[in-house]
Amino acid sequence: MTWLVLGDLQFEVRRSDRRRTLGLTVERNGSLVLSAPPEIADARLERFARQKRFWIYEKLAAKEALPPALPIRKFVTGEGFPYLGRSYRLHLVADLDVPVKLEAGRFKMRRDEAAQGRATMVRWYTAHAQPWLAARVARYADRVRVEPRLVTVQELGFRWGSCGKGGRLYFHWQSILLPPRIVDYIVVHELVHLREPHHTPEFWRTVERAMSDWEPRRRWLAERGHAFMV
Amino acid sequence: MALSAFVGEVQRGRKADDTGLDPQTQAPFFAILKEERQKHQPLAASDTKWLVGLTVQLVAAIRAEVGVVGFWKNAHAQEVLRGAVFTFLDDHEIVPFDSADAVADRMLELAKANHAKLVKP
Repeated sequence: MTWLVLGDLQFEVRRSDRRRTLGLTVERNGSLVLSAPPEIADARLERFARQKRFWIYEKLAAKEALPPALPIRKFVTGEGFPYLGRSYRLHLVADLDVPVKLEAGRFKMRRDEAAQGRATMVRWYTAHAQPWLAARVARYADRVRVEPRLVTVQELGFRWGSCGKGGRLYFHWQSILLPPRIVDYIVVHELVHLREPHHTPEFWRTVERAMSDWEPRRRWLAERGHAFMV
Repeated sequence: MALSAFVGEVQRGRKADDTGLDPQTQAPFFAILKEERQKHQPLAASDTKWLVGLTVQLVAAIRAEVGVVGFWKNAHAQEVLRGAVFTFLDDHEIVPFDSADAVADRMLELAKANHAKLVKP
């Protein structure tokens, strides 16, 4: 791995035969990556990075302004778990007919499930997200004038939703943790992708037609969405 | 050359037609209603007259609402108007129930685009 150091900035230099242009990435963890075709001289790389310093500091500052990610949740009584924008406390019980359930404003979990608590919660979230999202998709499909075929809830990495071939829609199970109005935005966004694959002006016009206040919802998701990651 | 004629036509805007609707405010709504209705059934001459009458009512209702200051910043007010347009479309059976939602969205989109013309006294 080669490095380029410029003042207080440190870049990882990645050279690739397939690369045609210079590129700079601020990764999610704040590290910097400089991608370049193999023949570019180091001096040229340094000049490029120097030109982009202002942009880099801006991006890093924007990252710092975000609220810090929540600490890892523990599966003990009293810990809060979000569902549709509200937080519910976990209550470990000795005896329960299912591994976990939401009852009387609390998540009740069998004590012996706590060791694999995350997997149990993910299963619960996924199972509850499926019908909820399918109902929302059905509600907005007429307005966007598309015919989605299948709604799948699964792990999607850093994406909230994704749109596949043949009218298939995928949603991250974590989207069910967000407030309903934000989930609605994700649903509309993916539905419009069935008509417009790219984020063209026509794409956003179609989003606006079905959801006039999509902009504040989108901003909310960008600024606060990651705080809902479990 | 062909394009310059077209540009001139665009700049002159919509001309009055034989429906008697105001080309600036009412005719665009009529065009969408007509287009949407024709997707499902042919439009007879008597239907046209009926649809013109409904367009006048609908545009009057829309103008009364969008004229309120800050209407396009008020998501709730927009949702209320959208609901009223939906009900209007359904009550008069202008379009089938299943497409009324999408047509109501188009009506509001058009009202927003033509806001300045609609609120002009």
